[in-house]
Amino acid sequence: MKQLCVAVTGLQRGENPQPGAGIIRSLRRAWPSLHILGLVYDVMESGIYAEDGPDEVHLMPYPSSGVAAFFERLDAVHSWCPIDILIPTLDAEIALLVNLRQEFARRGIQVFLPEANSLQRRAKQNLPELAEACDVAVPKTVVLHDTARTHQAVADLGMPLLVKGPYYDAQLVYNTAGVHAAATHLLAEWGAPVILQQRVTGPEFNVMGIGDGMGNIVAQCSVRKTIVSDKGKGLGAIVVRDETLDRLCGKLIRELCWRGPFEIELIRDTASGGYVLIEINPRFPAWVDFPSMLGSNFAAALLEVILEGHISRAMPPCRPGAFFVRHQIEVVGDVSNYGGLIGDVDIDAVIAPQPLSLFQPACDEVVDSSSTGTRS
Amino acid sequence: MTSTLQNLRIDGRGIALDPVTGETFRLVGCATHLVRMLQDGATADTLLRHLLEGYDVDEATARRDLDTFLSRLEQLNWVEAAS
Repeated sequence: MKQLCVAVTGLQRGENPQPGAGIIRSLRRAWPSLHILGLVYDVMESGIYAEDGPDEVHLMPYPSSGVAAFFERLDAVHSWCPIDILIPTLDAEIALLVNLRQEFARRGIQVFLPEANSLQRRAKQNLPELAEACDVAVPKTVVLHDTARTHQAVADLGMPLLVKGPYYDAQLVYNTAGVHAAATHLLAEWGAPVILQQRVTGPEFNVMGIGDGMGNIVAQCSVRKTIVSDKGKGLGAIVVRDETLDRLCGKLIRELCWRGPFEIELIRDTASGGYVLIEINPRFPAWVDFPSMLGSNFAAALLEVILEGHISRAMPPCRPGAFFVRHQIEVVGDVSNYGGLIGDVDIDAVIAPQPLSLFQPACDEVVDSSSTGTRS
Repeated sequence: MTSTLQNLRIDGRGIALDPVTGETFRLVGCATHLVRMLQDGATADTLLRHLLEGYDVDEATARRDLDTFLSRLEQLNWVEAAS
């Protein structure tokens, strides 16, 4: 493979880890000399400082800043280090970028993103319709655009229930006041809609894969969560192989003609024994590097699909019984790393309004020795 | 025998993995051997004979323990419920 430059986002590996750092590890495992750019929103994204991290890191404006700000910054980075492939890893980024394939093509940057319609159909608020089309069970769901209908929704769904934002965040609540408070918070944080979902109890399963855009799954790996954090994050999981689960995921990906990485989240309902679809995420999960340690490198497969249109050989299935446990360690940074992030080539970006506002708070904390470095 | 029992993978130390659900079980004492016998198609009578021939146990005790054991396997859907 010629020397490629691959840009990856989502390098945070803290309490709520993002997939980018795992993608970089997987890519390095396949192609150690690949040139990898980390595109970050915050100098405190821990993957910046990992030993096997990116070769270069550049600050980006948050997706909420809009397309113009994103491309203004991307063009600057692209002029310093031409990007061949961009792998966005965050839901909010993908929602922003999904309509912009032509913009990327014009710049010579390859992306592998779903169609806008597919992305929309798998959104939490639209999941019941998709599930009906695929004959898949979903929790009873009510979509709210404000809090006026909270009481009616609670009456329809019963308690307890989950209150979810459109992209991130889910809170389990036990009474109407809790629903109201959680919905108000999420509307302020992420905007409408807020999704209320009946709680389903049972073991949780996640399926990671890559859709080829024609309804086929290039490769997939299924796990059952064995350790769940109080935020519902899988801190440990074990590989499973279940034809029922494979068929169900196949139906969803076929219906969506999904292009790109995905993670399907399901619960096997203790009451009915059947799988219930909870979410479809339009990206790799944070545990993306786990299968690559078993010989199934999903990030490398994604690159192959982007470059060649297919993978050169079928990925071996992950063996049931293999498991991961998330292991957090400290990585070392230095204030000079902050300097490195602006550097000579990035000076223009630092004086631009958006990167400056991102950069400034972290600098202030480091300068102030009384701060322990906690950030909001 | 159920498909769950058929698919069960048992290692040398008595750890059984259900590859469909990812659940793991620890088989203690002669349970490992009994489960393997069931996977090979043994009946309850065969298991009873095995216990009586291989262990210093009277038939009433062996029958009682085996019933308890098989009931547990029924709960796990490893064997069909006794008719």
